Amino acid sequence: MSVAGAVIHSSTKPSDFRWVFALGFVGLAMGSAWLSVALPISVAFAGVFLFAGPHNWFELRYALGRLPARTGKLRGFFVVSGLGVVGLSGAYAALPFLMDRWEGLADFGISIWSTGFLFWIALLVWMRSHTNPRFDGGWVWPVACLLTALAWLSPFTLPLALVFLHPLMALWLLDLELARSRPAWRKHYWGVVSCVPLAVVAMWWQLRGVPDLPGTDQITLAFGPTVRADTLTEHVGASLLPDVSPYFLVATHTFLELVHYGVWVVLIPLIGLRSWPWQIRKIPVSHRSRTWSRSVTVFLLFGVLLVSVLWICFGLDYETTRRVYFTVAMLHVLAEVPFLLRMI
Amino acid sequence: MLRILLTMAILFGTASIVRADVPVPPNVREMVTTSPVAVVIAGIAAMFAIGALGLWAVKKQNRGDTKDQ
Repeated sequence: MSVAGAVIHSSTKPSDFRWVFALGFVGLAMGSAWLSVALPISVAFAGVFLFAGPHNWFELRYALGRLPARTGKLRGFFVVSGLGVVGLSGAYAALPFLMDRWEGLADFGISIWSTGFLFWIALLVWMRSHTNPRFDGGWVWPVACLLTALAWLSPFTLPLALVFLHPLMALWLLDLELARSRPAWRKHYWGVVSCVPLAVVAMWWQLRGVPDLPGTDQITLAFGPTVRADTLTEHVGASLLPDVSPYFLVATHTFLELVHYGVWVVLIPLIGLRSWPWQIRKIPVSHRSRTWSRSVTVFLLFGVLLVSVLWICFGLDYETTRRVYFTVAMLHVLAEVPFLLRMI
Repeated sequence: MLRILLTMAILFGTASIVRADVPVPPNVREMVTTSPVAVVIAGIAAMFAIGALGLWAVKKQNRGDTKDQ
């Protein structure tokens, strides 16, 4: 049975790989932080252009590798997950049109979406608590109600929090994957992952007094003539947090996104994939039948096609493609929630 | 304990529904809603939160009592 990842030679101790992994993670994080502070707009542009599509494809491949061949008793959980992912993504995409039509109800639309999102997660946690390993999930309903109250009092807080918290989900997933496949590496990981919040603190210390972004440089404009700095500041909620440096917000978001991409494109495939990405027969759901196997193959190939189309569209009109991508990308943000819950 | 939680719920919910005129700093104004309907809904959600918390606490206590028996 072939396994992806480094070949272990007899002279190399497994503990050496732990340190390679740990130092590699620190290198990734520190490099990302330095680039994000030095060239926030260019790195944000290049990061999304290069890695947005591929990281989604690797997420899909990893999720398929972890899905069971049959839903069995988890059928309800998967149905609720699917309905939530599709429904909430569609509602999120429809929000701008609804806001244009009913201008005074913009806050209401966001609060209603946030309420749906919170209770969907609460339902998934509650359903998860009734499957092995079981736990007492009754606390989830008061927490959901309380967060809903906050979402109605401050409608933009949850969407803004998602912008910054979503990249951190990859770190949590990496930890859960290490618990499954490399438990001996976990302590090293817990040690080095602290460099992420430390980097954010260092960035805040450096950038807290800097008011404006440096502006789009000539190289970035040459590759992406439609790239605009105000798109980035709008995305990270700079208008909602006027007392916080926009430079710091954009640099922090760019840093977290780069770490997120690095985890999904490099670390999780090296550690978590049980086979090479193109070994479709290793995906459990493809064992159900020949039709399923072909469907999974077509699905993954379609994903490769979408990544290529995304690159072409970024090249043609970066701004429009970026807006469309981040609207559609809510799908993968939501899909990570039930996936995380099943891994716990 | 339950009586305290329920009292807090009623007080919190009433305060948010009545919408006490607490001045907020200008930079927070855009983040916090000014819609009375939204505030009422938030108050109702908060009351539900405390009610649900109380129910869960009672259920947990009953489960603990049953285990002891």
